[in-house]
Amino acid sequence: MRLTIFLSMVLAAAAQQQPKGDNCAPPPSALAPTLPAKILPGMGTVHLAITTSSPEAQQFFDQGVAQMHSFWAREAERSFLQAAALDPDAPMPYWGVAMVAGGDWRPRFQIDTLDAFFGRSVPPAMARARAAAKKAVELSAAPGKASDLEKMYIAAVAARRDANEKDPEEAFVKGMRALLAAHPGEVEAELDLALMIMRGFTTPDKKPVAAGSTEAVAILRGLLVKAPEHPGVHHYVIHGFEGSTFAKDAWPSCEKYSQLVTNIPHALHMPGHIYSQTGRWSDAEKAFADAAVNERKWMAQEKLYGDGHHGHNVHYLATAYSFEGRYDDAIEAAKELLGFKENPAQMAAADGVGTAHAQGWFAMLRTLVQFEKWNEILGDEMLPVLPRARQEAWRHWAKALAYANTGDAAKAHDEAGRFDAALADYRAKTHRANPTELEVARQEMSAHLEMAAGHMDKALKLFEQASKAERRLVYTEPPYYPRPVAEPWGRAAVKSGKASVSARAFKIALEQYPKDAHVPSGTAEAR
Amino acid sequence: MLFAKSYAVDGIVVAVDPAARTMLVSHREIAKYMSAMMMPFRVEDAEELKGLHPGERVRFELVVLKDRTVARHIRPTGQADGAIPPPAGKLEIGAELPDFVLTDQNGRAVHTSAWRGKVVAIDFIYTRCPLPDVCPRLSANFAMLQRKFAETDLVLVSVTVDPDYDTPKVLTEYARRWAAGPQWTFLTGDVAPLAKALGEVYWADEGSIGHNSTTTIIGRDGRVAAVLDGSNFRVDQLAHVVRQKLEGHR
Repeated sequence: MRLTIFLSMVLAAAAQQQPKGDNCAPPPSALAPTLPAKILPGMGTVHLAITTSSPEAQQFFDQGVAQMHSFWAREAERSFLQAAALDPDAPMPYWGVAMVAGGDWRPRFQIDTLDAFFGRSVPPAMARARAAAKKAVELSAAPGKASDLEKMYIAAVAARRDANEKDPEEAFVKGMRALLAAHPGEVEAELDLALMIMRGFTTPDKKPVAAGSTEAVAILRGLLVKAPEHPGVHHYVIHGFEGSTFAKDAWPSCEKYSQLVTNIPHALHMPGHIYSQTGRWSDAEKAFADAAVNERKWMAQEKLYGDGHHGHNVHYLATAYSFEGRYDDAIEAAKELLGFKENPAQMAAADGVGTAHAQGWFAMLRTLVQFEKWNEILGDEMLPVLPRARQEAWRHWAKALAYANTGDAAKAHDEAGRFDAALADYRAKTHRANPTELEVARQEMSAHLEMAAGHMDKALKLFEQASKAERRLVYTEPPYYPRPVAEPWGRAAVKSGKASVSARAFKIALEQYPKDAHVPSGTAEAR
Repeated sequence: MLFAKSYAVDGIVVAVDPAARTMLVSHREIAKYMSAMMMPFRVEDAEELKGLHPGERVRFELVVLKDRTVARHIRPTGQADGAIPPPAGKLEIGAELPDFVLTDQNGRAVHTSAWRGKVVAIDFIYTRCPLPDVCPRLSANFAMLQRKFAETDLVLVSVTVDPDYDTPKVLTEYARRWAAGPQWTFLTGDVAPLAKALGEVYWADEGSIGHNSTTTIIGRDGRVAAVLDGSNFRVDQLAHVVRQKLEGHR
């Protein structure tokens, strides 16, 4: 059973000692945001009435909640801090800081996956979240400063931020259930509960990981009726439905979310996840391109904004272009990211895939391999050397495929040897086992080598095995295998005149990536 | 070697004496042998002293024989993920520190040449640093040096790597927080040339500032005497290096 997760969560886990997030949302700020905050356009409209003497504090508080629901932790914290500055006696702005400062306001399945890889880690910013929870509790104890409802919100987050709590997420869930028992139908609480019980779906069979997966979907379907203009509802629908058999049900929310929240990169980006996994490549491209435009603006304004989320977004854009058959556009997107420089720590790291530069590098590799641009791969110019063992392994893999497919078996074998040497280097430098996707790559490379030697039956068998292994890889977005093995497997079967095998292979490719432009037209769509 | 016992040692080089084939090391506790202290170690192979510099963290094998001890297999210890390469233009040990002009926490211009004749310890911090193991630890080190060497002419200098945020006013508050006295100065302004000269690398990261956290000791002659990389050393090891320079030894 495999859990649906996001892009670089696992890969970043392998690459960095300290998890800094998964790039799918801008990471939480290690530094407390500075004031003043501003009322920003395009954040989405949310209102949660709080006890305050300041209408302006209420306004910043509402903005913070809206930003929280788009996982923009840094700006949400800034808004909550502004609200607290405007009304220092109001407890709920501190509730907001407690909710977001730790950077863990995100779907439960993402939290579970990060914990599984890193163990429970406490980022430095968690100290701010814990201090804020304590402050909220203290302020709410003053007579008339907090309603019963507010006290229950505060109690839930205080339980999550209790350093002695063994299962903080479950403590929060318990608090939310208690709140909803006392205040049935409370929209914000239902949303918070849905996010924190959302456990995702397995791959490749797309079954609920836990009961929470299904309960979250039920809550969200109810909220779509009850609060159709709430941006958080549509955002959480996207997360709650992704990776399921009914991902298409999130299409209306994809459309609505990007209309409600027009100025947060993650909000513009997220619909692309659903669109790309359901074959709506051009809609995915629009989502990612819109997010990129918006994100470049924020990056230009804030020195510490970072480029990780932009890297993820544009990498996904390049991927969508590649699957849709838009070679030039995919190359252009990859080149943009290759133009980003890594910082000194990233450059010195033994492994790394999450930087904007590294994501651009992989996007370039994917595009060249998916379009079988063998001469460009062998030319060494479009795919520059990124001097890390993981990327060197991929580069030699691509060159082995290029030589094998252009009739130079001897050089293909040389490159296969360099691939193995790079992996040995990887193990020596990182003290970790080979990345599983590179083990699959080795299997696929063997198939190409057999094909180059004219051993077609053996090659087809190896392609089939590699395809099977590839489909078992941990699901990442965008995929961290360059393209489905079923694509070259199907083409090899065509060359061998084995129509039934090619039909099966291409059907598998379409099951993995609906409307994959690299599958010959006429192949029946799997769904 | 007969009757030999060997122990793993982790320490900071305080001084190197190639002629005597020894290195003075402030080491951590040597398990089942010796508590943490500073002491000279004779090395088995003088070649191993080449390239070592005061402030460098090393690991080596200490072989204890019946009548003597020798150090061998000396390895400078890098970060697990590879050390950040120093910037081009980093001063070598023994190189003279050029004059730089920066601004202190009181808004006054400070010439680094004014420190000539005194031992100076320079570290790089930023006041918003949220990582307890980095800037707060470095500042705690300096707070301890301030107490330990209060009666000396040691100058302590903390240079911000976040000069946009760390204005003199912000640094004044930071100095107050750490009870910094007149011996301890905080500098902002155009810090890049000084950082480059001392091998300090810093960059804007996602939501924070990254830096390699060097601590440099400048001798009374105005030359670089020792460099400690990172913050993963004990304060008594730093104190050993400083005392060595204060007492005028090489």
